[in-house]
Amino acid sequence: MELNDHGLDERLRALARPDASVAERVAARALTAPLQQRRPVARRRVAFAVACALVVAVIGLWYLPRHSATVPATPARETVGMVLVRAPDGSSLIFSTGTPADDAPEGSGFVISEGDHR
Amino acid sequence: MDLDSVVRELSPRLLGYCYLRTGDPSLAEDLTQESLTALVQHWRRYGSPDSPAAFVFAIARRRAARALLRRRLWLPLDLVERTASTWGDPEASLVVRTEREQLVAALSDLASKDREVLLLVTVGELTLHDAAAALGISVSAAKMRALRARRRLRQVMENGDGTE
Repeated sequence: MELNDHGLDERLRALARPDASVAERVAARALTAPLQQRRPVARRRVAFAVACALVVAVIGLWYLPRHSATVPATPARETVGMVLVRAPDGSSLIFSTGTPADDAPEGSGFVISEGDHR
Repeated sequence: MDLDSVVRELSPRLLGYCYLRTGDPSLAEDLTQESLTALVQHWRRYGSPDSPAAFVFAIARRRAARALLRRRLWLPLDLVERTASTWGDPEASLVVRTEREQLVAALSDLASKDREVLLLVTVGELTLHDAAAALGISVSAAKMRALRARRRLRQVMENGDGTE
């Protein structure tokens, strides 16, 4: 079926043409009651959205902090003290003792953080 | 040009536009009423806009886009409501695809920018100048989009699926 531009436009207009009474009713409502434009469905949906938001807020703020498992802190290198060792020749070394870490000298049990030779 | 006659003249055009834009008569009625109400309020406060048609269609276009987005979010609830309303009535749940529904489906195949111009110019009966003003684009761009939309829609309607 061949359709020219005019035919296509006419077909679109014909299919979209509303019932005259509906158009008249809408126009009259717009002219006479501009403040009552929301229909009850919209209000129901707003109420539903607010109720959902409240439920989510209650779960988020009250329930979860009390019932969620405590996540253990990741073991970190823990420095428990510093040791200053002074050699007879006057030079000194500072050791920090703590949990062996990946970068600690193997078998040492502590981490050399700084060396200070004098 | 008085407000009353302008609103009554724009109402059917706006309804048709909103219907083809959303595919939902009830939503189209809401959008039309809200857009016309905005026009009435603007008119009473500040006087007539330069082009009442461009003014009201620009509002309808934005509101339709927002309404479609909202409807996507509310789809599960809509399905429940629709199921409840046709419950026990098997005939009502048998939906026959009418020509109008097929046209809405064909329109949904168009690029959204092209569809906007086509609907404003044909169903909304705006001039290209007003349609361009409502969309915030140049007249030549509106003309090009309308041409492209007509060509594509003709393909879809003639071939059924839009294939060459």
